[in-house]
Amino acid sequence: MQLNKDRSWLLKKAEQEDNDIVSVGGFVNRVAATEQNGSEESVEIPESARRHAFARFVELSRRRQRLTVEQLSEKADVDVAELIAIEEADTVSPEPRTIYQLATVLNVPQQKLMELSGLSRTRDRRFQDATVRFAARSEPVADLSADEEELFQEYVKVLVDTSNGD
Amino acid sequence: MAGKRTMTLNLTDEEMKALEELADRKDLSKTAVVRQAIRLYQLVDVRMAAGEKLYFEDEVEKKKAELMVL
Amino acid sequence: MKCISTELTRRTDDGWEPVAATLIIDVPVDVIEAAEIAWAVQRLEGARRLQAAGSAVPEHWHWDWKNKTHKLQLLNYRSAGIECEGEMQGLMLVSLAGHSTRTPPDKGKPLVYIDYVESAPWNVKGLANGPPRYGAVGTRLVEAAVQLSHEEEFSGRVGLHALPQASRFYEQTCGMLSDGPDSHYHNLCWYELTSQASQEFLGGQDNATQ
Repeated sequence: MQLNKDRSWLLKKAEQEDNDIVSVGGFVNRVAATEQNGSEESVEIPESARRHAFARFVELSRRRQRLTVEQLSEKADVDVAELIAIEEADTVSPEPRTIYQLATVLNVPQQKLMELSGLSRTRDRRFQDATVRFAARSEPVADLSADEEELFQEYVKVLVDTSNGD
Repeated sequence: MAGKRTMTLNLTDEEMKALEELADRKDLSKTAVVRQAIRLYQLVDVRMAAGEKLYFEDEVEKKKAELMVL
Repeated sequence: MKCISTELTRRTDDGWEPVAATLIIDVPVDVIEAAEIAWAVQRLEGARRLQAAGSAVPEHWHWDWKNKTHKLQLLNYRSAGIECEGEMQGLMLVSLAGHSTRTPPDKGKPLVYIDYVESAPWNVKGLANGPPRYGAVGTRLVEAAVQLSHEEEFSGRVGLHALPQASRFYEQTCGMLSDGPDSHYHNLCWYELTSQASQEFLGGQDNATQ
């Protein structure tokens, strides 16, 4: 394969192409598919439900992979403090990079995690309904597992031991 | 794209005639026609295996006819 | 995988200067996915900046190339990328069968169909945090499509459906002709580079390759 080596041609094309968008129609299929599944209008998930659903989703996804917060922060190369804030539903707007990294490590669609995190709006009413239901059902009600109980007791012991010297 | 391998095709007179007509109509060599046929067959086969169906659509009559590829 | 030495342009204070680049044909999937990682964050941040400023966001801003790479398992699809100064500057996915030209006198003959194409967000005005860095990325990728078309005996013919925002590039920079909105494809415009037009696009050079 031989490409054009004419520099005057190249510079002319660069000048012509400047300010243009280079893109084709494949993207439209994704938008169309989304629009078929839900309303064309932008849909707002209630903020509190969204934040709660996002927090629980990240936490449950992490736990399914048997990772601690620290391990997930290392694996995803994101700041551990931000990850804690996410799982505590304490962050208004996570960093885009964090969402991208989490989507990759947790193996979830990047776009959906962006919508769940509030970084972009969802067009999908079904997704909105599912998010609200997920938020409502994912309040922890179960007893601590044996491991969680042991960990909790160990941590309480440290708290008690270290407070004796105060 | 790996290196190429050669094979001999045994075709009936009618099959060869069809291949030559396609090559002439599409302005391709017979090899290029066979290559296109393999690509299309693989593409159709994969999508049908995934549960999709292949149709021809008559825009005038507004009819669809299903094409089965086995 | 094939690597071909070429050039892009790099922005300077005075305009553009040529810079060495590599066109890659049949980009390995892991390289495509690494490019997606490198592009995704800036693409998203750029889109957010545009939204905050009330500007139009490029319609492709949340593509994900990881969702395209499965097509490369099929013979029908091939990829091309253009790398410069250690980073992927553009990616393209083409389809070799299933599309044909709509323009006489070659109507019905096969062409290379550009299925997806994208320039890195730092090369896109608005998405880039500053002026776009490299130029002629789209040009080189369309040129690659033309050369692939020659390799396939399609005489340089290339076709695609264009998003409205991209029409100007295909019409003015590439010299493509439009068939108008395609009712079978979301009413996007069908654009085609005929064999004759592909030679004109390449500066009148006879670039048929073997």
